[in-house]
This record gives sequence, C-alpha cells and structure tokens, in this order.
Amino acid sequence: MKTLKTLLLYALLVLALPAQAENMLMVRVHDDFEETMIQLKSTLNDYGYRIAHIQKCDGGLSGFGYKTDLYKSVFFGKFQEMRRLTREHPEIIPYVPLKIAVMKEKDTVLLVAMNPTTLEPLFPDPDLRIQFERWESDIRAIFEEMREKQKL
Amino acid sequence: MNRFLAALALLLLPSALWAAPDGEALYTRHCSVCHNDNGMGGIGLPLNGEKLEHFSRDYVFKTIRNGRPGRVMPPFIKLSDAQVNAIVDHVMSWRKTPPQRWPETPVQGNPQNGERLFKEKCTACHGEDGKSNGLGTGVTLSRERKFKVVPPALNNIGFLRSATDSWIRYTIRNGRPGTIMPSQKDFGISDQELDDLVAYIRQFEKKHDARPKPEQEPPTLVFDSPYDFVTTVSNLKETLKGLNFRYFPDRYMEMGLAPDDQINKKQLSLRFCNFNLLYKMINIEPRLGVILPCRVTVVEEDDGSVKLYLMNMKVATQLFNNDQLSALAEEMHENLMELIEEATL
Ligand code: HEC
Ligand code: HEC
Repeated sequence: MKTLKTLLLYALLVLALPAQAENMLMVRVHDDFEETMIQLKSTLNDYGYRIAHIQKCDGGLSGFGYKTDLYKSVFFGKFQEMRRLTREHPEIIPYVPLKIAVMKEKDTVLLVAMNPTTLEPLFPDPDLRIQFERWESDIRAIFEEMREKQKL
Repeated sequence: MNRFLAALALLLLPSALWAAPDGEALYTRHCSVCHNDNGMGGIGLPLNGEKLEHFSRDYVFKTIRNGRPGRVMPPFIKLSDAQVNAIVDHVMSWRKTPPQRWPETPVQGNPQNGERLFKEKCTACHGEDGKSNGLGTGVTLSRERKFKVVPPALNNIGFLRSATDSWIRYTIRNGRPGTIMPSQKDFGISDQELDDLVAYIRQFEKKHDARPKPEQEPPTLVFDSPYDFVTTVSNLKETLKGLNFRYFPDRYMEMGLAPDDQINKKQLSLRFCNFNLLYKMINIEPRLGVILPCRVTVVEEDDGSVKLYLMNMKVATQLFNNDQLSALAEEMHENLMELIEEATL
C-alpha cells in the first residue's frame, strides 16, 4: 500500500507540474478588445485581485507616428500581500503589482504576463518561491477562464 | 481510506498516462499565441500555406524541442514525445500532400566561397552573419516594418540543430514559394555554389558554441539616496525633465489596492518612458508592455533613510529570449543609470 501511495503522490505531482516552463504566460482570445478588457477585469476580481490601474499605451506611441492597434497594461494585486511582500522582500518592489499586457492583433486579443516563477532563480527565497508559484497558478487559471469565456 | 486511495489512483493513472494527446488543443495552447490560428503568423513565422508542403515532420518536431534561442521561440522540453508528435500531426494536417523526408547525409562545400556568396545574395534579408536584417520576428500585425515577413535568423542554434544540410540546400534551391525568399534560379547560382552556401551556414554552429555566456546580474537594482524622501522625489523629477523622458503621473505602490487613507505614502513610484527607444524596442518585441513603463520607486525606510528601487532591464529583458531586445536593453540601462546618478549626486 505504501508503494501505491507513493505512486499516487507521484502521479499527482506529474499532473500538477506546469505543462511547460515558459518565461511568458500568454493566451489568445477571439473577441473584441473592449469585451476582453471587461472579461479580464471580472475574472481578476473572481480570483481575489484588485485592479490597481490601467495604463493606456497606444496613445503615447501613436503620438510618435507609431501605428498601433489597441494596447493596454492592467496592473493588479492584493493589498495585504503587497504590503507584506514589499516590507519583507523589498527587492521585489519593481516586479509588483503584477501586470498583464493586453494587445489587439487583427481580430484577436493577445494577453501576456511575465511568468512569476521565472523569477525564482533570481530571488532564491522559500517564502517568495511559494508566492511566485501561487501567482503563476492564478494567472494560468485566469488565462484559461479567459479562453473559455471568449465568444467563438 | 486505503481503498479510496487505490480507487483514486486507478482513476487518475490511466487518463494521465494513456490518453492520446489532442494536437489541436496543444497547438492552441502552446503555439497559436505566437503563430496564430491555423499558422497564419504573428510574433512567430507563418506556418501555413505552400511553404508547409516543403517541411518534414522531423524539422517541425525538432524545432518544437529546440526552440529558437535568442529568437523568441522557447524550447518545449516538458512536453512528452507523444504531445509533440500530436502537435506535429496537427500542423502537418494543413498540408495538401503527404510529408516528405530529406536525408541526413552532410553536404560538402567550400565555406569560404559560401561566405562570399552569402554576403552578395543573402545579407540584405538574413543579415550580417545570418542574424536577420529585420527588426523583430514573424509578421507585421500592428507594427510597421521593412519586411512583411521578417527573414528568420540562419545563425540560430535552434534552427541549425533542427534542419538537415540537405533540407537547407533544398530550401535555397526552391526558395519559399509564396514568400519573398528567392530560389536558385533567381539567385543565378550553380549546384556547387548551393553546397558552398550550406557549408557556410553550417559553420554558424561553431561560432555559436564559442559565444561567451552573459554574466548573472541581480534582478533589482537598489540605490541609497543621500537626501530625504521629498528632496529625492523632486530631484528625480527635475532630472527626468532634463533627460527628455515622457513622464506619467506618480503612483504610490499600494494605490488602487486599498482606500487612499490606508495606503503607504512612503513608497512612491515615478513612471516614465523614453519614447524614441521604446519605439525601437516595441518594434522588436511587441510584448514589451509586460515590463513597462520604466519606473523608479522611492522608499523611506523606518529609520528615515531613503532607497531607490529599479528593475534591472538587462535581466528583465532576457526573459523575452530575444537577442535584438537584449542589445537595446544596454542602452535603456545606461539611460536609467544616468538618471539615478544625477538625481542622487
Ligand atoms: C528578399 C529577402 C530574402 C533573400 C534575398 C534571401 N532570403 Fe532566405 N528567407 C527569406 C524569408 C522572408 C524567409 C522566411 C519565409 C517564410 O517562411 O515565410 C526565408 C527563409 C530562408 C530559410 C529557411 C529558414 C527557416 O528558419 O525556416 C533559409 C535556409 C534561407 N532563407 C536561406 C537563404 C539564403 C542562403 C539566401 C541567399 C542565397 C537567402 N535565404 C536569401 C528572405 C530572403
Ligand atoms: C513566443 C513565441 C513562439 C511560440 C510560443 C512558438 N513559436 Fe515557433 N517560432 C517563433 C519565432 C519568432 C520563429 C522564427 C524565428 C526567427 O525568425 O528566427 C519560430 C519558428 C518556428 C518554426 C520554423 C518555421 C520556418 O519557417 O522554418 C516552426 C516549425 C515553429 N516555430 C513551430 C512552433 C510550434 C509547433 C510551436 C508550439 C509548440 C511554436 N512554434 C511556439 C515564435 C514562437
């Protein structure tokens, strides 16, 4: 029975591993830009995050004669988490709040976030490691929901 | 309890180990983000149309495994062989003809003559030393570029490890129908000269192995300010103006996450962009927004001392796996250091 338990644990571990260690987490959504922004806001809220603010990027770039489709960055986080982390691990400050870049590509919208676990080797700390992993799994789940919610 | 575990194991194991992977779903998840639906192209090259008729299964399989180090595409090492094969099958299902194979036998040629030909016929598109003459990768979507499809880097180790000599030769001989890549006829070269070009391209592999590894740097740069919080902030603002940065409204770190009266007012982020540089960088890497805008966060510690925190752009840009971007990150880094130096003088 012990071996079975080990085997089972192993099976669960294998299942829990990320499909692939990517530096960037990305999802392509087949929807218009505004609809995607609305869905993203509500999905982030469902996962307990607050949107700190939304930065428009296309305006600044087109002012320089740059032809852009819509491009926005969504900054999000959790108040208590932010307070604790910036106090206990101030070196994480430039990397929070978390961010998702939202960009239109023709008839689709691409959502991209830095994969927090790629920071693990740069910040070798067990506490942060747990935090990075939690963030990664949240962002993956949020992107998965965005994929499911898209109008096809 | 034990029986429960056994049942659970029986339930989980077969599905985990024996279910046939769904190539289309895997493509959607792992590839369409860059290569777009049905391989139309995006940050990644187009994979559909006539060119696909000239791809082998083996080339696509190896490309997925090797990725393109320094050219955006990551290596997919954690997918199982069955999963990679399912993706290859899915991509190959867009073809009209059955897949061909190319022999593994190396092509013999004169690399010196190949180099001469390459400089004459290829660098206009594939760049000095085969590193690509385009900005960024893939196809133009929202970005204005010289090339509609950016010529791939031929000195790329992921490409070289995935392509056989005979297939590279075949590609130069036939060109890429449906793309701007010309053929042997257009180049006006002999069969021997084809071999020489292949021999030259193959040499890039040795040069890659000789490249120095980048030094490991800290992800965050921390500086002490000799001034108090308010003076530091106003110095930074003055310097930003002088250095011609576009400047966005300041934000407290916790702003927007809690009511204004609860947030820490001793952590202030100054946010800015150097649009000239940014323009170049976003052309190269459309996903750059993930680390923008640039910012310096000023923090007053409990003892009254003041520290500045910055993202180390040289480290953060490495995450994009994009050599062209990493080269510009140096410039951005120097910009930021100038700012800090002046403001904390
Ligand atoms: C007018 C521009 C142009 C010129 C000149 C050109 N190429 Fe290309 N080449 C391209 C483009 C664009 C592609 C990718 C096309 C696609 O797949 O959509 C390509 C693809 C290739 C590929 C396949 C690489 C890969 O990653 O799939 C090889 C090999 C290649 N070229 C070799 C050469 C050689 C050798 C020469 C000179 C004899 C040459 N090319 C000249 C534009 C050019
Ligand atoms: C992060 C973006 C990205 C992802 C994800 C990605 N690729 Fe790529 N891929 C690229 C880029 C960029 C190139 C071209 C590199 C260059 O221009 O030098 C490329 C090249 C290729 C090529 C060679 C094309 C040619 O013309 O020779 C194939 C095949 C390919 N990718 C297949 C895939 C498959 C299959 C997947 C999913 C398992 C995938 N890629 C995931 C960005 C990506």
